[in-house]
Amino acid sequence: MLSSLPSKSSRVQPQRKTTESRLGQAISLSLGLSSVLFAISAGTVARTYFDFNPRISRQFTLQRLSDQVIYLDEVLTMSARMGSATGDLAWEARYNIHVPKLDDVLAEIEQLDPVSYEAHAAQTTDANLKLVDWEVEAFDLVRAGEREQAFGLLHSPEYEEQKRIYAEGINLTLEEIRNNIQASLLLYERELLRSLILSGISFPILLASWGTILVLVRNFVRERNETYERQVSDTRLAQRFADIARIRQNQELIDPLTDLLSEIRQRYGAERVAVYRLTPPEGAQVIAEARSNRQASTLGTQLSGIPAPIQQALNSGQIYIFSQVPVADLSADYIQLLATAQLKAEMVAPVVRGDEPYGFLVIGRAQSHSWSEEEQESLAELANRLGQALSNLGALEQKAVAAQERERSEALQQELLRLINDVMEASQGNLTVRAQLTAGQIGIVADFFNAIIESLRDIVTQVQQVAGQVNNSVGNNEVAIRELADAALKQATQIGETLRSVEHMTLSIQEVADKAQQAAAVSESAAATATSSSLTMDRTVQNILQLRETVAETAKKVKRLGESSQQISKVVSLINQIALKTNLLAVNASIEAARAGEEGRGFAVVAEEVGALAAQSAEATREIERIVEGIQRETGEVVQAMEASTTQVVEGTRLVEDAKQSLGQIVEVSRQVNQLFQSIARSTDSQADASQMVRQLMEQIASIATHTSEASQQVANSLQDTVAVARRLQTSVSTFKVGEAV
Amino acid sequence: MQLQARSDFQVVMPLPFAQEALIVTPQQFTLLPNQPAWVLGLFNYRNRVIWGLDLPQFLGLDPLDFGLPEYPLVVVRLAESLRLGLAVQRVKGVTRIAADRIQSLSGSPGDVGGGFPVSNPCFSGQVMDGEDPLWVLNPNGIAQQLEQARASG
Repeated sequence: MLSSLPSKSSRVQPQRKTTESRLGQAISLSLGLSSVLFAISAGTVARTYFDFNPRISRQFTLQRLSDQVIYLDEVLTMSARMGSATGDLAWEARYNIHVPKLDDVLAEIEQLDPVSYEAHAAQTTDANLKLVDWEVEAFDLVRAGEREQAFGLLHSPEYEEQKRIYAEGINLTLEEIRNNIQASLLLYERELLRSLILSGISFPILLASWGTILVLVRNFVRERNETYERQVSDTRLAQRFADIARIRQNQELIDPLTDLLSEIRQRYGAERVAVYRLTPPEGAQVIAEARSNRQASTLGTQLSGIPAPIQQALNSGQIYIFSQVPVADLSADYIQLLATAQLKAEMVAPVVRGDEPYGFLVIGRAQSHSWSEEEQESLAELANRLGQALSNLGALEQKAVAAQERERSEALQQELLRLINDVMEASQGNLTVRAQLTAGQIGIVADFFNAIIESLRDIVTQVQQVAGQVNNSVGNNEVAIRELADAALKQATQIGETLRSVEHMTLSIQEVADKAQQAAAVSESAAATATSSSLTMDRTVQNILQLRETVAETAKKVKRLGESSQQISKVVSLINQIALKTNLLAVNASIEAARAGEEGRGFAVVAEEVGALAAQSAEATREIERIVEGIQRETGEVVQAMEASTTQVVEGTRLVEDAKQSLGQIVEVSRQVNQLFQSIARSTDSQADASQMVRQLMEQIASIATHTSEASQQVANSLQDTVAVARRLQTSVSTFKVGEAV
Repeated sequence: MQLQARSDFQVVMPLPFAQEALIVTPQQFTLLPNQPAWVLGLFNYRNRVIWGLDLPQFLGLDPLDFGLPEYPLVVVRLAESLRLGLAVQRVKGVTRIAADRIQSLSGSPGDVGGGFPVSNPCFSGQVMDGEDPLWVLNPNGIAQQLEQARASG
């Protein structure tokens, strides 16, 4: 969108001022109002204070005085009565002392509160005067010695009546005074309440006023600070512009320009500020930029074309802004550039140097941003100032270009002359000349010329060297060829000797073959022997195994024998028990026989015989036991021996197995040996053939050696010719001058 | 009657005192408390209850080995109503000994089984049978010894 430049801030300013003046009025009004209210309440309070104090103190004084009146009155009455009762004149003296005091007090009351006093004065005074008269009269009577009369006078009903009247008047006065105090207190309370209400109203008004003032003051301070900063920034900007204006060369432009852009970026709070310079015919390039750390650099980016809206802005001298990236009018590479720099909103101002457009100044933000009138305006101004600052440089540049042009054509002519001078001698074969190198186009020609001369010189030098080398090497070769011929002769004789040696060798090889055949036969017989002994060994093993089985069988039988003998011993122990019981029976029979007496004698003898038999059988069983034990022990030993022999048989079997294996290995080895010998015999046969072949080859070699010596002679001759050719070449090349000898 | 009390100690006793020789097992005895160690207990002999004694222990020798399953026992009749079972290691048999071969105990044996007091009433004498002495039991002496034991027990 394009916007026109005229300022609108002049319209904004007065409106603000009106607001401010209204605010000021409101503040002064509220301040005035609150001050008035405050003054009123303060006046009330002050009045109350100043009024209250004396009035209260007066009321208290009155109270005190009233009390004194009552007291003094009572004192007077009591003094008079005591005087009349006792007749003592001291009471009169006391009475006379107190009368003036009462008068004083009454006078004081009248002075302090005449209104209250006056209201009841007539009544009181009247009663008082009467009382005083009576009392004086009573004292007179006392002095006259008529105490009873005085006493009667003072206790008469009239006296009492007057005294009551007097007391009533005093009381009324006091009541009046108390009422007065009450009334004045009420009044003060009301006044205080009023002032409190006034204060309550004025307080929020004051609060609001002060708050507004505070806000205004803060705004003022902030604005002043901003203005100050703006001034400082303006100063710096002016400095930067001055720096740019001072510049004489394009190369020096970038640094101050970048400084200026940083300053502008700071002022706008923008993420990126850049200057694009137009590059004819229709491109633009970013020549300087200032960016925040988060933005990627786009310095040096070349735009292939200027987007249409920007071009339009350049033509019309207006500002082009957009506040959100997707803008249809922008070209693809510009949008790409925005994406690289991560920008969403931009403001573009044309920069015009002299009369021609120089480029444009761009301010970009990373977020969407609607540009204010003020911002646009100031950017336009900045672009304008930048154009002016740059115009100096433009003028200087043009001047400098013209001067350079002139200088360059002069220099070109001089360089051309120098080049021709330098090169002149080369046509006469002097290859050492060099054209002087200069910075211009002629310098390039000179450089080419130098390169050509240099390579020509290299070629000539190489030709000279090669010719020299050919001469030398041909001289050397002559000698070598002669040596070669001699060596060929020597070779022929040596080959003859070699032939003889080969024949000897053939003979000895034949011998070796015979011996190998014999050895093969011997090893074969050894293998046969080993095989037969292996068979014998097998039979032995079988015998041993049979023996082992027999032994095992025997051991089993012996064990069974042991078991049978155990059964025998069982039977024997049974017989033994039977013998024992038989013996017991015999004993019992003897006992019975003894009991029978003489008739039992024969029976006793039989019984004894039975007992003897039992003893014998017991003895016999013991014998059998012993025998059986012997049998068991011996069978146990036999079993042990059997087991031991079984172990030995196993061991023997194993040993025989080992021996058999070893024999097998021997057979295998002797078979291999036999094979080896046979292969040796075959090899020696082929060797004999080979040595025959060698002999024939040697003979051929001898004839070739003879050929070689002849050929070498021919080579020597042709070399002589080569030398002559090389000499001619050397002389023709030496016409070129190549500087130092090579 | 010749009895082997222990392997190294043989006694004989007059046949008329013997009632019967038996084979008994230890389970046949009924053990009784508060008796001397040589009392084996009561046992039933042909429907009579009689005492069983360990003879070697009664004579002051080492007791019999009662780990055996059975051992012989001789029932003796000391008086008309007093019968005793004397357990021994073995019953040898019946031997005839002439009365004059019995030597009195005046010549003390001294070296046999820890020795007996010469005045032991259980023995009435000894007979030399080859090298080994045969001790002659006096059944009345045994009865007397039992009485003493009962009186003291």
